[in-house]
Amino acid sequence: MSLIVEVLTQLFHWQTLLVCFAGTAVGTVLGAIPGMNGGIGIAIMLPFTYSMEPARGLLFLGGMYLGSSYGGSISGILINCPGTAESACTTIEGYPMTRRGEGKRALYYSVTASAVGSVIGLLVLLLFTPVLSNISVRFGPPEMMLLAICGLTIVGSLTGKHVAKGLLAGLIGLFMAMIGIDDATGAVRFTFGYKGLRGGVELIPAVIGLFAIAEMVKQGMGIGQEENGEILTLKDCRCVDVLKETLIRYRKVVMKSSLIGTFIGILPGTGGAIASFLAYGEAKGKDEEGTFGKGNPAGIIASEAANNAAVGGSLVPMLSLGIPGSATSAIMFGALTIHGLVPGQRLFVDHADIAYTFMLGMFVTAIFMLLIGIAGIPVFATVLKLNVSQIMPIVILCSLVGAYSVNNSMNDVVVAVGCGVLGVALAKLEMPSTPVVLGLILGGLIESNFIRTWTIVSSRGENLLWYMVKRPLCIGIFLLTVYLIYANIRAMKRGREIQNSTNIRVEEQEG
Amino acid sequence: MNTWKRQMAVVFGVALSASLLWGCSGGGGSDKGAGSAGGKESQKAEASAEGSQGQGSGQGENSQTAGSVQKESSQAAGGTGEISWPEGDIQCIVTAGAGGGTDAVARAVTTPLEKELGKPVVVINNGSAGGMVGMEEIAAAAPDGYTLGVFSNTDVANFVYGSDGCEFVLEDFTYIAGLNSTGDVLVMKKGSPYQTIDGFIAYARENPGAVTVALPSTIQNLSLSLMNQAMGIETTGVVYEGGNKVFADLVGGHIDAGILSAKFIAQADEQGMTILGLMLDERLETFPDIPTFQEQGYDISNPAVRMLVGPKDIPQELVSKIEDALKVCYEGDAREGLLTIGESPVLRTGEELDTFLQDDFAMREELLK
Repeated sequence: MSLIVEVLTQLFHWQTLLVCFAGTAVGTVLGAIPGMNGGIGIAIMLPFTYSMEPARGLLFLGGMYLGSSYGGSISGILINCPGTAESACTTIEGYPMTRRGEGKRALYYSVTASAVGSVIGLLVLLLFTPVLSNISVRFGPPEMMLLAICGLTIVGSLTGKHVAKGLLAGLIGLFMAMIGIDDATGAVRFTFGYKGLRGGVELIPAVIGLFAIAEMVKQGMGIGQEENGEILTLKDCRCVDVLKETLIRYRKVVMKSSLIGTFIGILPGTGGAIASFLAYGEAKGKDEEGTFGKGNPAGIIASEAANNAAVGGSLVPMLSLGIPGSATSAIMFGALTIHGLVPGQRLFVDHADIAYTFMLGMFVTAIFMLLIGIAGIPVFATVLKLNVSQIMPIVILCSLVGAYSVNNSMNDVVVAVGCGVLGVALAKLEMPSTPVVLGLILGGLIESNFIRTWTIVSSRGENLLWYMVKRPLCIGIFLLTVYLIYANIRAMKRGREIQNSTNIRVEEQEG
Repeated sequence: MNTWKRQMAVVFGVALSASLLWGCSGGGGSDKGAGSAGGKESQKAEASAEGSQGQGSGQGENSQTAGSVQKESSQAAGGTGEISWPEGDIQCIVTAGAGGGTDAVARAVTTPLEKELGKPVVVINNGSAGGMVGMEEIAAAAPDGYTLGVFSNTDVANFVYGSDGCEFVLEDFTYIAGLNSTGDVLVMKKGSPYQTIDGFIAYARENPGAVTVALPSTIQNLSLSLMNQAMGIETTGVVYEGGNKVFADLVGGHIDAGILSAKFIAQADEQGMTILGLMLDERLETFPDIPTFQEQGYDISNPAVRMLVGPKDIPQELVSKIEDALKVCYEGDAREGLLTIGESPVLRTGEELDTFLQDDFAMREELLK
């Protein structure tokens, strides 16, 4: 009983609330600026939290994490430059809506889905941590490898018009994941003697280059834009309507995506980006009307609910086992250990006040995120009133500075610019750049886990296939992969049929 | 017309960023008359040296030579007699990401150090290419005390002796002080049937090569081969990306054992996993219950010491000044800060550090080359 009182007094202390609010606001803004990123922001802010009380420091970082997971969608929806890899899929559906004049509507979908996703992820964290932490460690090297391969099937949902071009883009991503010093052997690969590539192509500079820089250059050159320079209209819409629609009409998408997001978040070494890709792919697989890729709200909802749910998920193994579920929660883990707190069962007993203040406080940050998002949307949307040539210098500036700040190194700036060039080239060839990011994320996971599995299997003198067949989870993931490929092909066929029938209809009308 | 405007906007943006980044990466030291002395930027270093003369500080003399011959610069500073360092911000390049072990040690020391020195010590994390890029930046900096760094003996030796892409040598650095003392521990997987060294060795001898040992990175290959030698066994090392993933697979029981840094002891204990021993000459202050392999009859020692370093040829007066400041810090705040994060605060300076490094690097050269 005294614990509850203690937690509540700590939680509703004005300083705690202020910290929650500040963290969420900073995270949202950082996430929204292309090039800036929640992960970088958290790394920068980490030392400042060392002097705060543990629960408050964690809440500040947690707020930033949650806020930036949502914030990335804002710039994606409005100017087609996703601030983070997490919101790459949101952009696919969000930007077409903006071009239709429904930018505000898309933003409302994004913020409500983010909030619902966050809350579901956090509920799982609060209620099921002991059960789920054991499940998370069931995924060893072979399971992680298969899961990453399974994730590759999502490329099918990202291809656009030409399947082959999309697959090729995915392969480029897989190739890029191999560049740099190999972790297992220390060998230097595919750097072509250029020192800056030894560190490999990291995700953040790649995303900055492929999306932000490339998009700005594309707009400058007028690639892929039919109507050039017109200022987009902005239809008004009521927040309450969208909220209702999200919760009622799209309730299945929200629930499913949030659960996918939470689950992916729980697995060590994954994160919100993979979560949102999987949820988007799943939602698109269920697409009945063939409107995905042309501004379907379900795509925004799936992607955003999943990446925010992954926040709660990634905290499950961090608090219960000391294994961070994502790169960002790995940085938060530093905030935990700096105070001498040891994650595990004892954290919830010996330091129950800190653990529960943090977990309950995260719900408060989710609410703040919703409020900041809703209040901010009219402000964010004014970006559309600006001329593109006014936005460009700012975005490029932020992008290059953001790339620099990943490792405080010019190498990443070079990588970002290189990826920018790649992005423009892909656009010229009418190839989508999102599969490149997916390949880049999954390539490293597949390779390192394959090498691990291989080493373990050969040390035991077993057969790789037999080793995997003996593990029921492997079979499960394999079957899921087969199903996803089937669903992809089915969706593609259906899309083509719909395309044909609409073409016929258009022709008839014109005739 | 519109396209032209947009293209100009792109160019403008690039120019803006270029100037800003140029200022950040190269010019960080220029206001202190340091300039970065990287080969490519020698022109710039000259320019900054000119600028700094205007300040009229004793540092001006020093920086004139920053781009060219570094030995002269140390003599020049030696000639001025007294040291006015530090007059501005000191940047400390930590060759690992924020939130990790090296970062935590660096911050636990730099926070009290900046109070002692009276000037900000700004930590800059550069973990690119496993820290190699950060080390390169430290090696290329001017030896004026305004660019310092933190990395460990294990990391630097691993790059110098074990990696093809490495372009610096051990002599490129001034080793100022050892900041902590830690080592690796051998952890059995959760629920492992082998709870004693004897049981582990017996099993490994029966099944040569079948025992898999997870390693957080290639650096721990050395611990593994030391262990195999001392115990007379054959095991298979499996390389991971970082201790967290090793720990995850040990909890999940996917791999037989793991070699982890001592900071995982508390977590491993919490999960009820067995720790067979510590690979150091003596027990750690922070974990006095964990026995060393040495006292159990196996000669396995692979000490990891995070060090405060700088580029080579930092004048001795400057090094002494930093050492003195560190000694004061280790009486109080730095010691407490390190203990809180579970690190044993062992400060090594001067000859003590030199002797330690001489033996240590010799051992690593033999095993890694």
